[in-house]
Amino acid sequence: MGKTRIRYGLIWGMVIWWTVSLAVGCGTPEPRRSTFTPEVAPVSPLPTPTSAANREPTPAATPTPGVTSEPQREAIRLVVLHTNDNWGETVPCG
Amino acid sequence: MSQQRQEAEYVLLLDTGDALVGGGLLGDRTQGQAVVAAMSLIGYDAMALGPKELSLGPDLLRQRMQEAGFPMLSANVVLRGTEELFAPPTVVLERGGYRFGIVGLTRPADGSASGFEVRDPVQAAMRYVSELAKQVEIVIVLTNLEYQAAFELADRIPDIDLVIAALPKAIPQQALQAPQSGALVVTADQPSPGHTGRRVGRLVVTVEGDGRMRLEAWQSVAMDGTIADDPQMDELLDRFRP
Repeated sequence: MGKTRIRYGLIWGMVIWWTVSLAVGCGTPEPRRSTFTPEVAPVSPLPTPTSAANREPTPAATPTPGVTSEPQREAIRLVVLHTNDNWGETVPCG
Repeated sequence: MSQQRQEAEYVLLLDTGDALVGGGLLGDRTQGQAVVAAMSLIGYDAMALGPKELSLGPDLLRQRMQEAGFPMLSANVVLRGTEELFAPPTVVLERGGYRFGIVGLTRPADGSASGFEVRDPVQAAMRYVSELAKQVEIVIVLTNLEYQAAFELADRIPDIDLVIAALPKAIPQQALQAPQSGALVVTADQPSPGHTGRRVGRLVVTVEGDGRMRLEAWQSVAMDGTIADDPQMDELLDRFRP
């Protein structure tokens, strides 16, 4: 019984969420990749996915805000060992 | 060097030149062959040609360059009577996805060059540094110019990130930064007859994602008795000893 009530609660939650989304102009809801949560909460409309093949070319100088065109490289720690003026010295240091 | 390679993921090992001969020791007795073999075993990444290397003459020096497991560089040495550079002027090495361009500069010296002509290192640096800077994230000048001359060069020429120099007047206490350009300038040792090849400079930097280099630490490390001899190196050198 408890499980049945939860199930109906989830279904109604989805219906209400969907209705709210339609009301604020989200259009046809797209499948969400994020994990479903049973709570009902107003969410921002998701951007409509655009296929890269259909995308119009845009100047490289105007990137989409918040979207980086190239992945940021990781910084590295480099050790530079250097020697000078050895003049043919090969005597072991031991 | 083996220890450093075990402790650090990315390492560059560089020598400023005047390395193969000049101390009256095993290097001289073998005309540089023993030192080339030793440096190849250690795993040097690049070396600049110095006046002492030029004293070997073009044929013998070319042979040593072929024996070496690392490039010997000079952007300002030509065969006498020609405009032809004797050695590669630069090399690009990659570490961790970043490209490091190295320019070799030779100190002009009278009387030690036979069959060579040493051109103005500053002019050569201006040309090759600017070309290299278009291809790599970090530009390193490797030179046996005296420390003060190398420091002035570092401050004068744009796009240099690091200068590794030679012949300081004293064992340096820190890495210095050229005031105008911001280039780092380091050298490891102050040589004198009987006291050479005894110190290694260890510079630690962070290379940022935008290609800038930040100094973390520098020290001149003495190759003293606390560091064990390498058995492979002993065996190699024994082959050259009489």
